[in-house]
Amino acid sequence: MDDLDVVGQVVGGSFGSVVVRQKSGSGLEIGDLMVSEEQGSFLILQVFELEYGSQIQDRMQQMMSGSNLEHGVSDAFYEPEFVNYVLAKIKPLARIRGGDEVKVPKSMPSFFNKLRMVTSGDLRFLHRGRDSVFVGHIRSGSKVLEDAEVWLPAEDVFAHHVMIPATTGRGKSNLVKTVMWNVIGTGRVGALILDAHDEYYGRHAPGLKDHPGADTGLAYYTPTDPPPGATRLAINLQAVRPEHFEGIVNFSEAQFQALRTYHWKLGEGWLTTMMLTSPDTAEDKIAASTMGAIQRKMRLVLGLGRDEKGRLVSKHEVFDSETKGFTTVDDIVRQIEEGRVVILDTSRLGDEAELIIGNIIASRLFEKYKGYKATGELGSKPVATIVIEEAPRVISKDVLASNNDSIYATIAREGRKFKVGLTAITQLTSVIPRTILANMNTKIILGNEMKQEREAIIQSAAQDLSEDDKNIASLDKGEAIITSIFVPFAMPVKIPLFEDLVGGTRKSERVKVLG
Amino acid sequence: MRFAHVSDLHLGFQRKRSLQEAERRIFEGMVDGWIKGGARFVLMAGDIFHVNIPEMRVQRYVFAKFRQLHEAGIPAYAIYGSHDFSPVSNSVIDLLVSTGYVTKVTDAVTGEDGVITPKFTTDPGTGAKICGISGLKVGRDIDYYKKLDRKGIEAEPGFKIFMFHGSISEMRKAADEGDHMPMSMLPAGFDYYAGGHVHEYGTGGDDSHGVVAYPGTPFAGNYADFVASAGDTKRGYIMADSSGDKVSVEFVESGSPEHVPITVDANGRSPQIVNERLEEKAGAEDPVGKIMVVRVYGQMSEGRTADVDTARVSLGLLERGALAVEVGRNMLTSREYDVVRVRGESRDQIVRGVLETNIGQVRTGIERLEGGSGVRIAEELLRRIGQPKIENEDNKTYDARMITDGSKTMGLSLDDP
Repeated sequence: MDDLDVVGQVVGGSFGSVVVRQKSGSGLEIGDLMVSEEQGSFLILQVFELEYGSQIQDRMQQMMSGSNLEHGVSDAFYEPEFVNYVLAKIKPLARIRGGDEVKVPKSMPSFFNKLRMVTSGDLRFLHRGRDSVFVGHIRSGSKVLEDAEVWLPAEDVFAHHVMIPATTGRGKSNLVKTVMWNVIGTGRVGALILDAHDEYYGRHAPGLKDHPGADTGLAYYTPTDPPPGATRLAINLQAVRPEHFEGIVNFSEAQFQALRTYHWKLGEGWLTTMMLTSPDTAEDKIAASTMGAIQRKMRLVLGLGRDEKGRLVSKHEVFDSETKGFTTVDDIVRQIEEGRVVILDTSRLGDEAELIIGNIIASRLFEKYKGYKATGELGSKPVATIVIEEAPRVISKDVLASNNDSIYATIAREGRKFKVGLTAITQLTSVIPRTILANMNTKIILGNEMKQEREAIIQSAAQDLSEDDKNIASLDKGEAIITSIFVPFAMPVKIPLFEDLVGGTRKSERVKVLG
Repeated sequence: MRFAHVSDLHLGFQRKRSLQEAERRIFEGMVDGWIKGGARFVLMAGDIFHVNIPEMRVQRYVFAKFRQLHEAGIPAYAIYGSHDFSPVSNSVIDLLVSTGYVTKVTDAVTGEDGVITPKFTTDPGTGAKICGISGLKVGRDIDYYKKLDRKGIEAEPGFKIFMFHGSISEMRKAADEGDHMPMSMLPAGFDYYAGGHVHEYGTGGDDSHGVVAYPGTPFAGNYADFVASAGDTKRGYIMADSSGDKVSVEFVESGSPEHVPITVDANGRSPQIVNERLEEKAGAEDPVGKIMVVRVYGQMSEGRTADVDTARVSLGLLERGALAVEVGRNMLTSREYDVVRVRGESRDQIVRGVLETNIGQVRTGIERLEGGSGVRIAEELLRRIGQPKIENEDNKTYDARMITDGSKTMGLSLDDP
C-alpha cells in the first residue's frame, strides 16, 4: 500500500467496533468503506461513527478555548495534526479472498494495520449475473465508485419481495423508475405498477416510455387521454368479485354476506344489478338498511352513479357496466406473463378503488401462477412483482387485524412459492407486522429521519445493521443501503439519476468519483 | 350525409355450393341496399375477398355489382385487409381500382425520416375526406401506426373518415391471442373510424376519437363466424348518417340465412352417449333452409374422437332440407385417446397453436424465421401456398406462382443458394 493512500490506522476497539485514528486531511465520512489488507485476503470495513480524539486533556482544552475566546490568545498548536485528530469507529463488512470469494468476516483487522479507502478494484466480486438488474453504484460515504455497479439477481429478488422504506423526498420514485428501467426488456420480470401519481410513464417528462425497449417491454393504461400506444384504463364491473373488497373496504359481516349472495345468484352481472336495485327489493330478504349501506359505500369507493338514462356509470370512467373493459384484466395479466412492465395510472382514483383494481389483477395473476405451478409450467414464466405505494394500506397490523386478508397480504406470505412478489414502498415500516417484514428479503433503504422507523427497518434487515442508525439517518437523496439475502453485505449504493439513464448514460449525480 | 360501411365479406371463402350461393346473394343484396338506402358512398374496410385472387366465379358477380354501384354514382372507398392483400402479387382489388369501381385510400407519403403522412381522398359528392391504412402482414401494422404523421392529418379540417383493418384493444369482448392495438394508436380528431378485421358488429370511441365502428362480417369468413351467428350475433353492415358534429350509426342486417346451433358437451361422456345427444338435438330442430352449426366439445371419458359420428348427423340434416351443415369438433378430445395437443375454435387458431408449439425446434440461424416472427411468417406462408389455382391456370404457372410467393414471404430470393 502506498503511504499516500493511507487514511487511518487501527488503534483499538472490539469486533464490530474497531477504532481507527484518521490520518489528517483524509476527511472520513459516515458510511465510508475502507480496506485493511491482510495476508492472502483483505477486509472491507465501514465507518459508522466519528468522534474527536486529542492528546490534551479535556480540562486543558477548555482552558485554552477560554483564553482564546476571552483574551484573544492564539489557539495555534504545536504540530496540531499530531495533537488533535478524528477517531472513527468501523465495522467489518466482508473478507475477500482471491478477488471474488466473499466471506462473512469473523476476525478483526490486524492491530495497528494501516487502512486505505476502497477502490473499484477491490469490488471485482460485484460482477453482473445472468438476468440481473442494475440498482446503482457502490457508494463510500458520499463518494461514488463509478465502476462498481450493483446488480441484483432479478428473479430471486422480486420473488422474495422488495421493500423500499423511505420518507418523502428521498428519491423513491427515482429508485423505482431506475429499477424498472433496468427490468424492461429483460423478459424475466413482469411488473404491475399502481401509479397513484402518474409519474412513471412520463407523459410530460422523462419516464419509462423513453426506454428503447418500451415498445415491447412496457404497457401503459390510463383513464385520461391515452397518448399514442397507451390503452384506456377501463375495467368492466363483471370482473369484480366480492373477495376483491376484502382487506380494502370495511364492510360488515352482514354486508359481505349480501355481496356474496348477489354474486352467487347473479354471476357476472351481480354488482350492476346490486347497484341498480332499490334497497327495499333486495334479494334474499337482505335488509334495506344493509343494502342501502352497501350501495353508499360502493358509490363512494368505485365512484359509481346513475346517468340520465338510469345506467350505472363511474365518475372517473374506469369502471364500466356496459361495453368496455371486458378484456383489460386478462390483457394486463398476459402482458405481465410476457415479462412486461405494466403501469396503471390510478391518479384519478381514490385509495380504495386503486387497491381494488390492483386486487382484481393481482388475484387473477396469482391464480394463474398457482395453476402454472400445478402444471409444471412455472419455471418458464417470468417472476411477477406488484409495485404498491403506501403499502401499509393493505399490509399494516391494523388492516390485517380488522379485515380478512387482501390478496396483497396473501402474496406477501405465500407469493414466493409461485414467483409472485410485492415491491412495497412505505414511509411507515413500523406498522407492518414482523411476520411480513421477515418475508421481505430485500430492502432498499433510503433516508429516514424518524427513529422509530429506522429501528423497525434495522430490526428486520437481512444483515446486522444495529450500528447503522446514524448511517441511515444521514442518507442523502438518492443514497441507499441495500440489505438482502442476495448480497454478501449491506451495500451502500448511489442510485443514478433517472434523467441520466434516459440520456443514455448511467452516471450518478456524484459528488466525487473514486476508483 | 349518409354512407355505408362494410368489411370482412370474405367473398370466395365458402366451399359448399349452397353457401357460395348464399354468399353471392348476401353480397348482391347489400349492394342493392346501399343504392336503395341512399348511401352517398361506401367504405370497405378490408377483406372484401378471402384471398387476393379468388376464383373467376366470384370475380364475375363482384365486378357486375361494383359496376352497378359505380353507375348509380356511389363511389366505393377501400383498404386492403389481411386476406385480400398480397405483398408479392396483385390482388383483384387492384383490378377494381383500375376499372374505377373502387378507390383505394391508402396512399401516403413517406418522408426521409420515415414519417408516414397519409393522403386524403376527398369524396366529390359530399366533400368527406377519407384516408386509411390497410391491414398489413406479419404483425407490422403497429409499426406503421407508430410512424404516422399524426399532427399533419389531425390538423386537416372538414369531415374526416379514417379506415383501418385491425382489432382495437379496448373494444374487444374476449381476451383472445390475436393481435390488437390500443385506440390511442389511431390518429385523433376524425369524425368516423371505419374498422375492419373484427367479425362482430361493435361501436366505440372516446373524447379523441369520434365514432369507431366495426360492421363485422355480413356472412362468414371462418367456422367461428358460423358459431357466433348461431348464437346472438347479427350479420350485416352499417349505414351512418352525419348531421352537424354527430355521426349516428345504424346496423342493417344482411339477410344472412338463419343459423341453428346443435351443441353437445362431451365432457365425461362416452361416444355412444354423445352420438345419442347429437341425434336427439338434431332431430328436435327444423333444418329446412337453415345453416346447422354442429359443435361437439369436451373430453370424453372413453373411446376415440372418431367414434363420434357427426357425418351421420350432417347427412340426416341435409336430407331433411338443411341449407348446409357446418361441423366443429376441434375442441373434442378423449381421455383414452388424447392426441389433440392444440385446440382452437377456428382453423387459424389451430394453425397458430401448432406453429407456436413447435417453433422452438426451428434452428435456421435466420432470426426472422424463428420465434414469434417465424410463427407469423409460417402462417403467412401456409396461407399463400394454400391458394387454389386460378381458372385456366396451368400447373407450371401455378407452381411458379406458389414458389415465388412462398420465397418472397420468407424473404428469400430465388437466386439464394
